[in-house]
Amino acid sequence: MATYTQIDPTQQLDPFKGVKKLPLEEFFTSGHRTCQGCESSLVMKMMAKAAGPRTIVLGSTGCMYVANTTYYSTSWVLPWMHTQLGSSGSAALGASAALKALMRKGKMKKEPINVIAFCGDGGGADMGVGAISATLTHPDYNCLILCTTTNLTPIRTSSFRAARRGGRTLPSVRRET
Amino acid sequence: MAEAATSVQEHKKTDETALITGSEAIAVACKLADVDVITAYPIRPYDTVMQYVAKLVANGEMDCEYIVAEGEHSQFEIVKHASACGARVFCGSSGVGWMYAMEALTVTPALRIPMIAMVGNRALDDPGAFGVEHNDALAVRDLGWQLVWVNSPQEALDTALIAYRVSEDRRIFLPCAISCDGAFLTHSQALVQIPAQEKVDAFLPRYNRADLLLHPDNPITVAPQGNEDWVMEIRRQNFAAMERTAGVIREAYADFERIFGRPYGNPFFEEYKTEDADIVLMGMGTLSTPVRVAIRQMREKGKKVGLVRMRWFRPFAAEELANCLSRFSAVGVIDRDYSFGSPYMGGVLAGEVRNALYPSPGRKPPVLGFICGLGGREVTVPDVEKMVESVYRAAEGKSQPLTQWVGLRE
Amino acid sequence: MGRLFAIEIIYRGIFQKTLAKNISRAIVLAAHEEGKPGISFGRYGDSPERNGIPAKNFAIVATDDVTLEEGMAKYEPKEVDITIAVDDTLCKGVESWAWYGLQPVNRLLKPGGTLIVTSREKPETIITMSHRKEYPYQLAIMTGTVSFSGLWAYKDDHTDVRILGIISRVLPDLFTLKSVQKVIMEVWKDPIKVQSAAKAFDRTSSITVRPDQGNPEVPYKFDLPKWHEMGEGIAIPSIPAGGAFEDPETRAVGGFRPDRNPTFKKYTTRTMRPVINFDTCIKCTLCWLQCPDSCFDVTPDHLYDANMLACCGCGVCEAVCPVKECVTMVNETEFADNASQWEMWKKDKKGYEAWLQSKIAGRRERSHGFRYRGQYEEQIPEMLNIASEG
Repeated sequence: MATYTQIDPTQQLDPFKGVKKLPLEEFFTSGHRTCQGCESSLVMKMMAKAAGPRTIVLGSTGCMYVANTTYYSTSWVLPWMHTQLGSSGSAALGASAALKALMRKGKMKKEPINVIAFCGDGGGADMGVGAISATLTHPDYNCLILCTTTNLTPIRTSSFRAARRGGRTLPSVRRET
Repeated sequence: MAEAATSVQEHKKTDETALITGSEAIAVACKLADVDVITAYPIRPYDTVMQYVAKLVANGEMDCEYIVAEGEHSQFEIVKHASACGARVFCGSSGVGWMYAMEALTVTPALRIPMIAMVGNRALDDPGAFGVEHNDALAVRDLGWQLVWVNSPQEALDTALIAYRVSEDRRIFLPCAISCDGAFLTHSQALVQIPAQEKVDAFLPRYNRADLLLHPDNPITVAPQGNEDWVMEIRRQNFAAMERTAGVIREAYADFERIFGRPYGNPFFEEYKTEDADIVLMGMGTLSTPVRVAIRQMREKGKKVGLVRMRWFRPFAAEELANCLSRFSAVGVIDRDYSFGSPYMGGVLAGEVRNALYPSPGRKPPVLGFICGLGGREVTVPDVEKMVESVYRAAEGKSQPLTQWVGLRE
Repeated sequence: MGRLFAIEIIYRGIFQKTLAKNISRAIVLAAHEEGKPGISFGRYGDSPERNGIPAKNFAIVATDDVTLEEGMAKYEPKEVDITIAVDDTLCKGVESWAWYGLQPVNRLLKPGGTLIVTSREKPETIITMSHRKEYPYQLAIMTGTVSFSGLWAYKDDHTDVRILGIISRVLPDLFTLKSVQKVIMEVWKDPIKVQSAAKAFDRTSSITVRPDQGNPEVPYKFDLPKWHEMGEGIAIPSIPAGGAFEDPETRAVGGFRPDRNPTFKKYTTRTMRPVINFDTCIKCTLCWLQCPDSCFDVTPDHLYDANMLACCGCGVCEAVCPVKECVTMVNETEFADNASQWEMWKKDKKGYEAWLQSKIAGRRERSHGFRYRGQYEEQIPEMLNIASEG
């Protein structure tokens, strides 16, 4: 790619200048079926708080999907859509491409909307590496991919035996799936 | 260079004639439909579509996001989410490329995403032949995809427009895969009438994702993880949507005829010389061409054979087909696919036809299955003659094998 | 006509998963010693488990194979002979993954069935926590701390075999003490464990809980909608954004209370709850910020009130609070309701102060080395002592 393409303007969000000045609004709330003290859900909460209400979230299969949303119930205030285990990159790309096209063609009101796709270490660093890498080669689409890791891949649930030793597991850590 | 006959020109009010392949015809339909996001990943023979789309975009004839993904799985995932955010999308693949996308293909109808995909039917690996076989598209037949087979570039263009109209209808919101036989449709240019943009605008409303739009103004949570208390109800909703689809297809074709002036008659299957036929052959896609040639030759010799060519495989117009087939003494179904281990080791279409006939109150003629034309092998007129002979014997009450391989070296 | 037995074990997800599985399997194996076939399974919808979120495991036994089929190919039995709660706070009710709303701990218990609870509390406390049942049932308390036996490096305190001993006492038709001792020896090869089972058998005592005893609250539940009442496209509305709320005393409006998930509360995951000293709070915001469950309402006077319907008792707030005993995790058995502490404090600051101090002082430790490195090792002797003395 020889020329740089202008990225659609991002939202101008004021940086948080200290904990006492944080906005009080929560865009990811309680009622998720995560472990007591789940730090990944804390990440979701903070990400949502930082991103603000004009945000679309894509969540790939993983703890933050299975535990955060159980049909008929959700913890999200923001619009949220599930995507496949290795698809966080694709989902981010698809959503931001759609917004770009629709706004350019006058089919949707023009405004900067955050597109955030998150993945765990299994979905992101194992299966989803290809899609994320491809998405990162498109600077003309405005999206963020958030990969969280607990350094405890494979994912804890017994239904996802993606790899007993995922790429991100520290050698000193062993875990029963 | 004479442009008029070979390139696509942009005149909003007048129809044009162009010499284009089935793939390009679908690309043209995408342009006319003002598709917003297209993803691509090269694999023969579908990639002719992606090449033509790329040309249209590069020439400024089409305004859409054109993204070459790093694999079919991502390719289909990208447009799935683009559609959820309100974009009209187009995608496509062939053979094992389509299979590589299978996870995305599975969830697309479950999420009620009206994606239009072109499947350039290609034999599945191994061996990696490029020629036509229908198993790739058929692999999604249970999942909620609409499936339609076209047999000419004209039909490809028309069906693509109709597919957008039907799929994006809020009552439906199911994806549609348009199957084009590899080589014979994807790589062969024929004369196609391209409708005026004005007519297309009258026929095809803008895609409106309504209550399912993923956007900050419509905060919804789409597809939280469900369990056994919910899945059955969710599937039942898809069942209802598919039930409604046949009716919406009929509406769309009626409107199409009215606006574009091209009548298709019965949308679900085409009948050729069946009015006085003793026996009929059935099939999907371009194998209908040698069958028609053979039928005309046989009719000169006094054999009254007809053809019933399925267009829409999903939804399958079972009652209509059973009614139609009850008029004949025997039916020969040509499958350009295989289904190893199925009842009587028959192909997929043969199985569906028998399935359609079994509960029918009318006459149930014997149904013979023929496996032919796999991996792009031509279906020849002598092949068809062999099949017709066998079907005639069945019509006379003689026992015939229920599944026969035709055109095989043995 | 054969007889079908069912036993459920309600446990804290992940932490007591192995314990529950061991008990369940031992039940089936012990009954098998006496010629009765059986199956053992965790409730499928409860998995994948999460730390602390209640889950269930079942042992189904029958007098013969044909009768056993009545209990097979199901996610959970319709009724059980024995309910085992290996953590006493589970008696407040169970909101697990596979259930909608609050399921009383004794919900599946047959008339005259026995609820076995491991606890250090008196029967009255347990009975008060449990919801009322329309017919009487038996309550047997096994004195003991909450056990993590079988989990990683945690000490085996023989909770599993002690419960097996109690079962053989209250339901001898299922298996006798001798049978279960044989299985214990085969599985664990530990004669002391065999003895523990016998001791528990001898010490078993149960009382009858009457229909008028217990928590009279009607547990919340909701009906599942029909297929055409559900939104299409597997889409449900997101939670509405919350907003400011009113101070009950000053009537000032401010702060922020997030809207919360109406169909899953999570408070039954709790074994401890934070009690907050609003007088010493320096409003550093850390508890509110670091709570993974967004439990804290920001009050109009910018204090932080942990919502007791949402709090799952993880203890992060206590860990991050910089002020000594400003946020303190206290044994959940000390509390009878989910009332707002801030509202209590606003009404009567002096009274609240006294209440708070009594909770902190009187709390009985129930954590597993929760607060500092080495704490678990300090707790082991007492834990083993309670286990052996019963």
